[in-house]
Amino acid sequence: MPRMHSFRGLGLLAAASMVAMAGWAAGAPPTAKAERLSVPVLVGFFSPDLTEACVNSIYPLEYYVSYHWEFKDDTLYPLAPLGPAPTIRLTFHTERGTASPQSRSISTAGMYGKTVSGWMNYKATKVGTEHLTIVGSTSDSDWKQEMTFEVKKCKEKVRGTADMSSVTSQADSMGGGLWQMVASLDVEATADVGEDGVTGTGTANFFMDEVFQGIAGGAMTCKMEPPWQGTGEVTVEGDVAADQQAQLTLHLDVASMPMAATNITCTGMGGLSGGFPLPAWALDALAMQLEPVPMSGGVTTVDLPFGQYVIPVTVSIVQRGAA
Amino acid sequence: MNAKLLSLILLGWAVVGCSGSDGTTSPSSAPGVAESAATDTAPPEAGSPEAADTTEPATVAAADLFLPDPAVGLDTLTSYHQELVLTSATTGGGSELDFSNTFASDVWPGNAAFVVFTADDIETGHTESMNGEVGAARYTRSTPEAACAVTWNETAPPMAGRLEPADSLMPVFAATEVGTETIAGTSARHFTFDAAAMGLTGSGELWLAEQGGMLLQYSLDLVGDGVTQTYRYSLTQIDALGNVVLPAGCEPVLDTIPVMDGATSVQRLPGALDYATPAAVADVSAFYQSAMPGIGWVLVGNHATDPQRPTLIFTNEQLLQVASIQIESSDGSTWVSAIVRPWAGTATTTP
Repeated sequence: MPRMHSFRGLGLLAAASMVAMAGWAAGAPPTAKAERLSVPVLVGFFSPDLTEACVNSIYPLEYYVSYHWEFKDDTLYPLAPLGPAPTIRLTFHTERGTASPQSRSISTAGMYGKTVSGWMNYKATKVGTEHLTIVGSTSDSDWKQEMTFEVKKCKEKVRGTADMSSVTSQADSMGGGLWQMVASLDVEATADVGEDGVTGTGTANFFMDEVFQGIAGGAMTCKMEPPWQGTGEVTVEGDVAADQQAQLTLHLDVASMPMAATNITCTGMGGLSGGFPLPAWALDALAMQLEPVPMSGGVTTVDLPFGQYVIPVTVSIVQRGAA
Repeated sequence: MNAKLLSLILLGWAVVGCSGSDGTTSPSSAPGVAESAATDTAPPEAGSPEAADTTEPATVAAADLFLPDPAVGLDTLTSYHQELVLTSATTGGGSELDFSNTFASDVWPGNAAFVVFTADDIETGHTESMNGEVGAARYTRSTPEAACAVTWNETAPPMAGRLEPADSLMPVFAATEVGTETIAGTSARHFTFDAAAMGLTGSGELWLAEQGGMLLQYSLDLVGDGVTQTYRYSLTQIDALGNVVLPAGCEPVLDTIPVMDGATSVQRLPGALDYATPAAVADVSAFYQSAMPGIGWVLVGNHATDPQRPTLIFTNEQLLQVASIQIESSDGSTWVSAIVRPWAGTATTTP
């Protein structure tokens, strides 16, 4: 029966081994044949536990192995083994996914008190409850730690936003200093994760929102009607590599967005009202590909070349399972 | 299964010739110090009937150790730094027996912890990784050069505790008090101990805080035939780390945008928030239009061409940030996606 425990028991395990050998150290001579003690092997995951995983996503996890006592009457015991160093066979067991590597052999030479860490990739493949188990096996016993979590079929939600103020500054100029434009390129898309890859569509919106600055010595509010707004299409493609962190590649294919002529209407100043027109204009077409970003989720900043500008786009990718 | 309980069960396996409690001095009432190890008796000599009696099975409990819980008192602190360095070196060097492990932790108990694990050996060379957490935000960096990855996990057990460096110290069966000293600004009782009580060759020292009994420092040198092994543990910056500081390159998650009651599938990432709610799209929109102004945000745009997928644009002039909150009805739930980006905040001229 495999034994389970965590890193916390290390000191007391050492104590057990020491007590076991103290009688020999105090008076009992070493025997000619090495007598083996039980072999505590500590295995587990350094990485935070997963509580859910998405089908076709890969999760890198760091594990550790620590090995302590072997032969009771080694001359160097407990600092070094007398006999041939045994091997710990590490295996990863999955029920709803795959592990890479599936196993690893670790020589225990020089490992008294030593901790070895490594990384493995867990890839979820089937919906259900996963019991991901790391097992360290010696000829004495098996030692394990288990991580339990749900595997879900997920969608990838992509959001991107960029400050386009630098390319729309003419709108600020036309306001004569009365307002400040908040120009946003807002990208959203939802992608399905299939067996062969990730595909999805979404929209790119250009929003022009005004922050009215007011004028000295008077109260006045202004409003832009109709608002400047444009919409385009976004396509998403994802590469689900077999044994590497899956990447999403975002293609933005947004046609030129015509901005209709609009009016700024202001009221205030003792009941006065007034306004002035803004001419129609167009936001140039976007046809670009953002740098690949990890599909497992996160936030990154990618550069969007736009005319003579390079616009930083903040992109978030979130995996959405069933709510 | 509780790890400590299991450890005690494992101790029960150690039924070969127990040396028992042969402590040499009393650590008195310091928390975490076992009373049974406090008897002022000399250790058994080699060949004595007591020591030579290896036929009687015996069990050892944690209480038989001088310091049964080296992590005692840590959970009462507001913050601390601890470091454990384990080295093994051969006379000639360059063998499998030459290695070092270092655990360096910054801990804010109950709130945050970061552990950097460093290993050097002849097989794999130098490796270094970082794992940590601030609340439900879990941070990982596989190498010093790698990006700091962050995930949000509200239900996983905290990492702190399973990476407790103090728990991997060699146990001490008995110790002799030699005086009082100040360690890292903290008054401490100084003890020495002989590794012979462990059946080893070597000696060590440890310092316990007079107030609270925390293990402040631990040093052990073990000698074998051509091999030496050292343990160096220190607890420093007690209650002195201040606010939680993220490792370089790690970003805080977005925790300034409110979440509606009853939210599920919450994920907070640096600059982003995503969750599902049973509330209707219109109610979610109303919630943010009501809640955001109270925390410094100004609604500048409510773009609802598709009423089932409106986008709210807020600005924060103090933070010079724009928050774009998209609300959409999908798969029977209402999903909220907020993303925050820098905002130029000042008008630019036409180039």
